[in-house]
Amino acid sequence: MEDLLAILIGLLYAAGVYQMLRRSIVKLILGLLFLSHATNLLLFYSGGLRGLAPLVTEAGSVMDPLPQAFILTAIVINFGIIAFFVILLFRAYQINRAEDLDELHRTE
Amino acid sequence: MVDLKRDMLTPLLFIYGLAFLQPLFHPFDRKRIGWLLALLPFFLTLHFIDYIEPLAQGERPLEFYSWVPSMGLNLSFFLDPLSLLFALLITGIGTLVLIFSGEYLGNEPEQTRFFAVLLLFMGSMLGMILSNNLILLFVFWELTSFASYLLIGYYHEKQAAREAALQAFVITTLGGLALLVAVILLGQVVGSYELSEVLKQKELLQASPKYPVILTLMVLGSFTKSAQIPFHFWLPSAMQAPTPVSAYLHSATLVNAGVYLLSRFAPALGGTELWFWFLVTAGGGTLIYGAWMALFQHDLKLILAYSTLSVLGALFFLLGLGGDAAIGAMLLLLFAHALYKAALFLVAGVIDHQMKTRDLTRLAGLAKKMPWVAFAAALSSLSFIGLPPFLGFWAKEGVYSALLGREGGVPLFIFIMSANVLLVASGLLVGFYPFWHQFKQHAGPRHLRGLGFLLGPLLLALFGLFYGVVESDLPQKLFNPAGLAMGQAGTAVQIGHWQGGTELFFSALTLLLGGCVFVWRVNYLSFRPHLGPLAALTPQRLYFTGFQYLKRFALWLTEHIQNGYLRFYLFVFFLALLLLEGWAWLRLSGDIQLDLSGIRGWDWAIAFLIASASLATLFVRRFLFAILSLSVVGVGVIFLFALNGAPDLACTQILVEAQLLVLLVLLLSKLPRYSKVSSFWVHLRDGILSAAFGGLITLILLQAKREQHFSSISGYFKAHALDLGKGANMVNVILVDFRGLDTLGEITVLTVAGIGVFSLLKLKIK
Repeated sequence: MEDLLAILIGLLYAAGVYQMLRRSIVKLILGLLFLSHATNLLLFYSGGLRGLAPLVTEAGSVMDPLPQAFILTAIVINFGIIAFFVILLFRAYQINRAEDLDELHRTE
Repeated sequence: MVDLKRDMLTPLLFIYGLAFLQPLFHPFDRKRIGWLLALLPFFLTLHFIDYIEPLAQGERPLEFYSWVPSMGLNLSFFLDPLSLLFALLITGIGTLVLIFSGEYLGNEPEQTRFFAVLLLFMGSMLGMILSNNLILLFVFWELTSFASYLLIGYYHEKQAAREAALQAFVITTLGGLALLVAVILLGQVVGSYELSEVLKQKELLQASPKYPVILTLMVLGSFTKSAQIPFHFWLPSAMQAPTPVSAYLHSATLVNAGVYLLSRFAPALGGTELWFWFLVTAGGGTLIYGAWMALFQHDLKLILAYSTLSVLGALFFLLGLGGDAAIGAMLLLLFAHALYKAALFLVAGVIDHQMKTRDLTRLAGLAKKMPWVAFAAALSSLSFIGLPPFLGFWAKEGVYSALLGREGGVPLFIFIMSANVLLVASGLLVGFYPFWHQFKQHAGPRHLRGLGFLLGPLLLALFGLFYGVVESDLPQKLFNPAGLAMGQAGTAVQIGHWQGGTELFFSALTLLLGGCVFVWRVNYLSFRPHLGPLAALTPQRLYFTGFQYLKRFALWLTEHIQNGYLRFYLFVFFLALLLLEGWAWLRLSGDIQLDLSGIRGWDWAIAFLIASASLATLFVRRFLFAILSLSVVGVGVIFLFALNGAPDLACTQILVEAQLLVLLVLLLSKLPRYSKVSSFWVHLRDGILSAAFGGLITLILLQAKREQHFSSISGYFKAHALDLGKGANMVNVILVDFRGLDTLGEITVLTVAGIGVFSLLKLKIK
C-alpha cells in the first residue's frame, strides 16, 4: 500500500503544481488545495501505514500518533488559510471583475 | 603627565559625543560656535603633543577592550610616532578648520548638520589612525568615506554637489570593499586581526601565495581613497564641498588616509618588486598629471585640488621607492603639504566668501582689500613652491637628495623636477596672482571682518615658516621615530641643514623655470589644452558611461526577474526545486523497487477514485465541476485515512471538506467560465514540469521508505498517554496535552483567519 500511496502523492503534487502555474486565480486556489492534500498524505506516509488506530487500548501494533497529530493541525490551519484566501479573491473579483492574474498584477 | 594606557578611546568618545551634543550650543551665537567647538580638538592637540616625548623614547601605548572576540574584532588602539604625526594633523588642522567654518558658514541654517558631520569625520579619521585592529580600522575607514560623502553633498540642493558626492562615495567604497577583503586575507594568513601582530609577520606574508592579492587589494583601497590614477577624478569633483571641507578633508587628512594605510603596512608588505611598480607608476602618473592639470585651471580650488593630487602622487612615489632618505622626505613632505595646502584652501575660502567668485580671471588686486589674507597666502605659497627657508623647501630638498643619492635615480629625478616646475607655477598662480596683479587699479576699502577667517590661514602659514627657520627637535622627536615605525631605522629628516650644492642648485633651477612658466601662464591665461577625441577614454567618462550601463542593466534585470507574474515566480521556484532535489536524489539513489503486492481491493478503489478525480479537475471547463471533482479527491483522502488507522484525521477531514465545499460553491460559482488563455505549448511546458516534479516526489518517497535514520519518539507518548494525559487516544492526547501550546497557536491562526474573513465580508465596496 505504501508504494501505491507514494504514486498517489506524486500525482497530487503534479496536479497541484500544474494548476498553480495557470493564470486563473481559482486554479491557484485549487492547486493549493491539491498541494495541501498531497502534503498531508506525505506526512501520513512518513509514519508508515502498517498498524491499527493509535489507541493505547489496542492490543496489536498501532500506528505512529505523531504524524497524525501534525496532519490534524495542518488540515485545520490550511482550512483557515484557504477560507481567507477564497474570500479575498472573491472580493477582489467583485472590485476588478477580473480573475486573470495577469490583469491583476498591476492593480493599485 | 598623561596616563599612556587609557587615553585613546576617550578622545574618540568625546568627539562623537560633541557631534551629538553640539546642536544644543547653536542658539547662542551662530558665528562664534566654531570657537567653542574648536576647544575640544585644541585640547586634544595638546594632549597628543604630550605623547611626542614618550613615543620618541620608544613607548608604545596600547588600549584594548574586547568587542566581538569570536570574530577577532576588538576595540584595540595603539599609538606610535607615525599615527601621532597624523593625529596631530587631524586635531591641529581640525581646530583651525572648525573656527574657520563657524565664520564661513555664518548664518546658514544647516550649520548644525555641517558641524555634526565634520566632527563625525574627525572622530572617525582619528579612530582609523589609532586602530590596532584591522576590522576596526576598516570600520573607521568606511566612516570617513561616509562623512566625506555627506560633506561633499552639503549643498544638496545643487545637482553637481550631489553627483560629486555620490561619485566620491562609489569610488571610495569600492576601495573600501577591496580593503575589507585584503584585511580578511591578512587575518587568514597571519591568524590574527591585531595590527601589531600582522606587522611582525613580514616573511610569512611575503612568502604567502596570497601576497599579490592582498597587496593589490590594499593598494586599490589606498588609491581610491587618496585619489591616485585611475581613481583620481573624484577629488576635483569633490571641490563642490564647502571650502573648509576641502581644506580639511580633501587636502590635509582624508586623502592622506591611503598614504597612511600603505605607510602603516610598508614594514610588512613593502619592499617588493610589485610594491615598487604599483606605487611608482600610479604615484608618478598622478604626480605629473596633477601638476599639469593644475596649471590650466581658472578656479582657485581646482588648481589646489589638482596640485594636491600631484603631491599625493609624490608621496606614493616616494613610498614606493622606499629607503631611509625617501621615507624621510615623504614624511616631511606630507607634513609641510598639509600645512600649506590647508592654509591655501582656507585662503581660497575667504576669497570665495568675500568676492563670491574663485575665478582667477575675475580676481585682481586683492592684497589691498585683504592684506592679512594676502600675507598668509604669500607665506603658504612660498612654502608650496619651496623657497628657502620654508618647510616646503626642506621637504623638496629631502626629495631631491633622496633621488639624487639613489642609484639610477637621475631619470626619476628629472621626472619629479619637471612636475615641481609646473607646481611652482601653480603655487604662484594661487598665492600671488589674485592678490598682486593690477594692484594699483583696485584700491578699495579694506574688506574683511572676523578673526575666525584669518586665524587658520595665518597660523598654518606661520607654522610653515617657523619650523623651517627655527631649529626645532621635530625631526628627532617626530619624523625620525615615524620613519623608524615604518621600518626605516636610518631616517634622518633634515630641516635647516643645507644638503649640498647639487640639491640647492636644482632647487634654484626649479624655482627659476617655475617662474618662467608662471610668467608664460599669466600672459596666456585663457589657454587650455584640449584632449580631443581622447577625452572619451578618461576614467571620468568611463565612470559615467559605466554607471549609465549599470543603471540600465539593473532596470532590465528587475523587469525580467521581478516581472509581476506569479506563475513565472512559481515556475522558477518549482524548476529550481526540481533540479536541486533531482540532483540530490541522483547522487544518493539506490535501487528502487516498486512493490504493489498485497494491496487490498478497496485501496485500489480509493486510489483510482483520487487519481481520476484529480485528472478530472484539470480538464473540466467550469469552476463548479472543478470544485466538485476536487471534493471527490477529498472524499478519497477521507476514506484513505479512515481505512488506514487514522479515524481522527478522517473525522476532521470530513468537517473541513464539507465546509470548504459549501464556501467554494457559494462564492466561486459566481465566477465566469474558464477562459482559454494559454497556448498548447505553454500547457505542455507546465505539464512536463509538474509531471517531472510529481514523479520526483514519488521517487524520493520510495527511497525514503527504505531509509530510517532515527527511531520514532512516539514510544514516550504511548507509554505516558494514559498516566500523564489521562486519555487512550494518543493523537488527541498529543494535541490537547503534550503539544497543547501548538494547538493554541493553531486556534489563534483560525481566529485571525476568521476575523479576516468576517471583515472582508462586511467591507462595503464603493
